[in-house]
Amino acid sequence: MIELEDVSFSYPAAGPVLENINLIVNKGEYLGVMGDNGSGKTTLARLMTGLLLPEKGTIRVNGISTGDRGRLLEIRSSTGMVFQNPDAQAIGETVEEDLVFGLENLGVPVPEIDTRIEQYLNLMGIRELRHRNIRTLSGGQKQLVNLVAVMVMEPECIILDEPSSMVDAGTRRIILEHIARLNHEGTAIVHITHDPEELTRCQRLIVLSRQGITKQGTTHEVFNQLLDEEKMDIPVSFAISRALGLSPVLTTEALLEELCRLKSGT
Amino acid sequence: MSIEIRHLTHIYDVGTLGETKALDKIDLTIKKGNVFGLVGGIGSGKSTLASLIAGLEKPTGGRITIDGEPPCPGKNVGILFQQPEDFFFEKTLFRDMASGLLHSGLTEDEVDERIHSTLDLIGLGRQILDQSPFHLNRGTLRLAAFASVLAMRPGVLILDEPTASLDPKSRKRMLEVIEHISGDITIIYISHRLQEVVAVSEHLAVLDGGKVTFKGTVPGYLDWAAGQDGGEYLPVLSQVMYRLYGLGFDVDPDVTCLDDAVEQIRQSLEKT
Ligand SMILES: Nc1ncnc2c1ncn2[C@@H]1O[C@H](COP(=O)(O)OP(=O)(O)OP(=O)(O)O)[C@@H](O)[C@H]1O
Ligand SMILES: Nc1ncnc2c1ncn2[C@@H]1O[C@H](COP(=O)(O)OP(=O)(O)OP(=O)(O)O)[C@@H](O)[C@H]1O
Ligand SMILES: [Mg+2]
Ligand SMILES: [Mg+2]
Repeated sequence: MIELEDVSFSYPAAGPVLENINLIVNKGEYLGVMGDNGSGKTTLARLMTGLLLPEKGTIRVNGISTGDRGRLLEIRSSTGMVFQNPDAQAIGETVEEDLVFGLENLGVPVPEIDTRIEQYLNLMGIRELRHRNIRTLSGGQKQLVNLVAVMVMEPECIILDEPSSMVDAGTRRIILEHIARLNHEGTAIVHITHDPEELTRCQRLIVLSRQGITKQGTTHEVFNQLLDEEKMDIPVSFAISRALGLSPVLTTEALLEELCRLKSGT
Repeated sequence: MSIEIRHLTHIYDVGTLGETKALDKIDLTIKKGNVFGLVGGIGSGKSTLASLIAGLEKPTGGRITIDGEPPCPGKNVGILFQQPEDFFFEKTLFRDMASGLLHSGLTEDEVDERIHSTLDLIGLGRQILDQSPFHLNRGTLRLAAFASVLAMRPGVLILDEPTASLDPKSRKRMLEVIEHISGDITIIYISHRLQEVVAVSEHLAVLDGGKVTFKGTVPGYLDWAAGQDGGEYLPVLSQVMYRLYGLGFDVDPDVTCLDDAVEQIRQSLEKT
């Protein structure tokens, strides 16, 4: 889906940020990305969507180089990105305008535009925000609208840069369930976050640092390594199951099930 | 400084189609030197309450006093906005931090001293002062915004989602700084990260649709939240412990430290 080959990037004011990065996001996979502040996660996301161009190396989205500016629209319609700063993403004045804008650009027929908008606003439970001015929304409401703005385009790959950093636990669960469902239906997901509890449904995890990709593997493998180093947070259930010497699990449900099984001695 | 909030109501865009009642007859008392946690769903009114306490907007009804005086931004109260981008307008971080301090009447030497000691406290290197706020990654930008408000030494400090975008190391540091400065400064801590709210706060309140649905101590909150929405609004560790307790495990549901939790589960399993 997305291939980075020997990619290096630096901002004029900041010096090198990413150096010789090699990474493949496969079609339909769910990749988690963690890493310290300033390690280059947002930069990586911008490179993957062609918002920034690599200084060295190439990035291909469905085989198209992001440097091929004539085909930028193809890239933009196959990969959508939810921005880390919710104020940086919106283009329209009202929620509806913002959603219409993206769909018109994609060439979606007018009658379908309306049904899609209604469908996705309903899905995330924010239908009543349709005619609101985006700038007057609460932080979490903006994040939801931004997510809908990408989902409504139905891209093949969605890049999420901390999509649920400002929502409550219930809303976060709903967001994560919808992301997992989209992935199940074939959408590739790249999910950047500082919260390991959000990554329990990933198939693969990478950890970025100023030195590059310092860890990668299955979610279990990477959390195991992180736990051994006590450097980063890992999901609570994973930490408890490992401390008890059980085979590690990622969710509260799985942990409770295992503990009940042990208690009843079966 | 202590804060009194009486019958506070705030309605946006009164009389228009978009009229929104963000706060509905709120009563809260926040004691001097306390860390007061404020939680609630998206759009429940937390940031609105923050901006009213900071004196950035006038409420449409009711009143707020800080030690008997009305709120005065930059004087008795400082706020770390939910969006750190909203904080900056100068070309370098130094100019942003210094402008407020110079305005408050400090000399240039005092300003330098104040800025440096604040950066040291937060653990930010001084090289950041020459950087443009607009070129910072988001986590560092939030820390820089925190430094800017803290340098003003407000009597009341409102932190709106202060740890969003922070990596675990910076988050831990932020919580340590809050612990360190509370007592002198009254802090209002707004966050969706319940683990943190429970760890730093003495008292907390829950907003739902602009109304206060809970106010009390941390243990009181844990008990209350355990009975709401299947315990979804408990910190993750508490969710595990409350559920185990309910399933007949001999554990203390109010344990907040992971190592203690593990030990209790181990012992509970050994007994059976
Ligand atoms: N527009 C810019 N101009 C100059 N430097 C920049 C710019 N954007 C980011 N940087 C720098 O590049 C580095 C990587 O930033 P990036 O935003 O990719 O980090 P991040 O991993 O997303 O961090 P965070 O966890 O805080 O979001 C940082 O040192 C940052 O200061
Ligand atoms: N400037 C404004 N004009 C109109 N309505 C507003 C404005 N600011 C906020 N609102 C509305 O008031 C309600 C409360 O918003 P507020 O920002 O206080 O919520 P919040 O609890 O901080 O939410 P979040 O956790 O998502 O940040 C929401 O319905 C929001 O859309
Ligand atoms: Mg980032
Ligand atoms: Mg808010």
